[in-house]
Amino acid sequence: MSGHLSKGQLTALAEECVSKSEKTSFEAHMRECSKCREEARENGEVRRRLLQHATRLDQFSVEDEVRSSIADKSRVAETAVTPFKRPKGFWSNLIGGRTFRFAAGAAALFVVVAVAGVFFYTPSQAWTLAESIQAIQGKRGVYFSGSFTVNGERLDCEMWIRGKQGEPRVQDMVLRGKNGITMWVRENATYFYNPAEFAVYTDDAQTAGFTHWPGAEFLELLRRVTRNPEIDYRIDLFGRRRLIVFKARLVDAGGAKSFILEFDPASKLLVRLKWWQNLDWSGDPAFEADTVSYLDSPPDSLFEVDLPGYVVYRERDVSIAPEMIGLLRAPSFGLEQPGLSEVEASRKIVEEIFAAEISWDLARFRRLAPVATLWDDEQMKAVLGGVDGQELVVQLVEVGEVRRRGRSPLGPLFVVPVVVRQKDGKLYEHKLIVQIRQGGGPEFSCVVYGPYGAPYPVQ
Amino acid sequence: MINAIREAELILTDQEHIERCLNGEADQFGFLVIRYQRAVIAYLRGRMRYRDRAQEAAQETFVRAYFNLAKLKKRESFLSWLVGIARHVACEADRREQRERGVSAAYAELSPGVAKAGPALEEDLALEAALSSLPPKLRDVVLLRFYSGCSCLEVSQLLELPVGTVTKRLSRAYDLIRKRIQK
Repeated sequence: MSGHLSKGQLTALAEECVSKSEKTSFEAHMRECSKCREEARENGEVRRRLLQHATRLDQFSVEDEVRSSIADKSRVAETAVTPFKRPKGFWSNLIGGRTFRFAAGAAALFVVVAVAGVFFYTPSQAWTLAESIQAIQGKRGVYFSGSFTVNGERLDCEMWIRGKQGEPRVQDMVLRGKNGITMWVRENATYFYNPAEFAVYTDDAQTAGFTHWPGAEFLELLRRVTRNPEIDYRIDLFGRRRLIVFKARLVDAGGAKSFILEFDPASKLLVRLKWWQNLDWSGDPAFEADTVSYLDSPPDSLFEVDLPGYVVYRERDVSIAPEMIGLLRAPSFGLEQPGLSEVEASRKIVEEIFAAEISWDLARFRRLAPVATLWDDEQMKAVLGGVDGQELVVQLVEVGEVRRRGRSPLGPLFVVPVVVRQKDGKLYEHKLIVQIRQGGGPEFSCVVYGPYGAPYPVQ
Repeated sequence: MINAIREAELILTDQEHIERCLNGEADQFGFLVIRYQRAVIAYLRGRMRYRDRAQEAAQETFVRAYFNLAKLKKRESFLSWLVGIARHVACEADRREQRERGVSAAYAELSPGVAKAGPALEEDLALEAALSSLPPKLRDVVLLRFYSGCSCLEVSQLLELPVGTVTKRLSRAYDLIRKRIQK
């Protein structure tokens, strides 16, 4: 080596950012060169002082102060300039407003899908659908204890669900995460409380959880939308019992889903479940319940939610499943409506889709709502009409004003509420999400994404 | 379990934490606070006339950063952006403090503090002053390397620079710091 080591080389040596051969060469030079040794010593002194100083600053942690200060400011201004678009992650991965009718196999409903599958696809089983319905009858509540995995982090939670007597709908639901996150459904609204944001995000529809109480009608409904389930047995060593293992998968508006459910042949009831957001049961389950218990009559106190007085309530932006963007973008779907504004076009396409349902024009229905291409005619019949076809829409009573908005990479999203009359004569309010597709110019087209929450009975 | 998760989270890049935070995971901001609090405090202590207020200013810096996170365009430059906020906060805090204390009282309060400082504190004062006077490119490398616990390789990844550039900047920073603290 000629000359001296550069300052950069000396620092690289001290920081061990040199190759093995460089290290040997530099060290050999250092042994011979007092000037470089002196330079290295001086550098080392500065490094030592910096490291010591940094250690002394450990006492000045501001983490807690920052957290509480952010909380204070958030409380002061309800419309605080928050960088958070919506409480994604936990909730969006859980159910995230994608449930329901078109998506009869939506995430929230998988338990019942599987129950139906077991009974209808395995006639060799000793138990029948009727027996299972019998087992569930008289029970109006179910308890799940398990965990969600979000971004690799496991979040323990408990969930209670209560069915409404004489109706397939869920009356109440509350889910409590061990990290303080709470979600609950009350009347026709869904609430997401995230303590990290000191806020409750609201949807004015039932957008989360089990939208139907797992009763007989619903078992039959879901039987029709699952295909090719796999049935197996497993010995539960802890419980010293044999369990029936049911595996199935489906695709709906919320994307791909696969699940495993375990039933106790003695009680005919579900005892464990796992659910993945893919079609091959791979990776960590998005949700895993290691305890499932049915309750005869869950008390009101289970569904009470106590929140700190300072939380603020915010409307949650409407969103759609990212994996559905490709389908929604396809030009073969949707409708161009020149001369109408985006809001007018949204209301118009909703009128059109109900007209298609009423006239049973499934081709047109699928062209307006591409998610419907995921099901064949039989499945569509079950999805739209319910078990006995009584939920089919026979009259569009009223198209309401756009109440909720959001945005996807394709353009604005609008929620259009409608009131319809079903074949059984009952009036229900439906809300549909319409995707406006903007092409960069004044022209646009629109397409129906799917339902915003569950239909709600109109008094 | 919790610690393991926290350690795993700390391995994420600034961009990943910011992305998650903007997507609603508010707690992710906590990891950025953990990563940079020492760096910000070190900078502020050297920058502020009233260094005993550096902790409060650091708190304010992070709170402002949190509420303005969506405005950050170059997410890979989070530290530089943060230090920019800290600089503003420091100026504001000093002006406010000076107004409140009054010029003469401020000098009277500041001087004894320095006079009473022990050798370690005096060393710190000089080092902090030297740190805050470094050119931004050198300062960021030093803050990341020594106050955010990054290796040179990690600094190079965070700043998207070759490792050789990082070590060169460090050596230039050592020179400047040495000259400054020997004054």
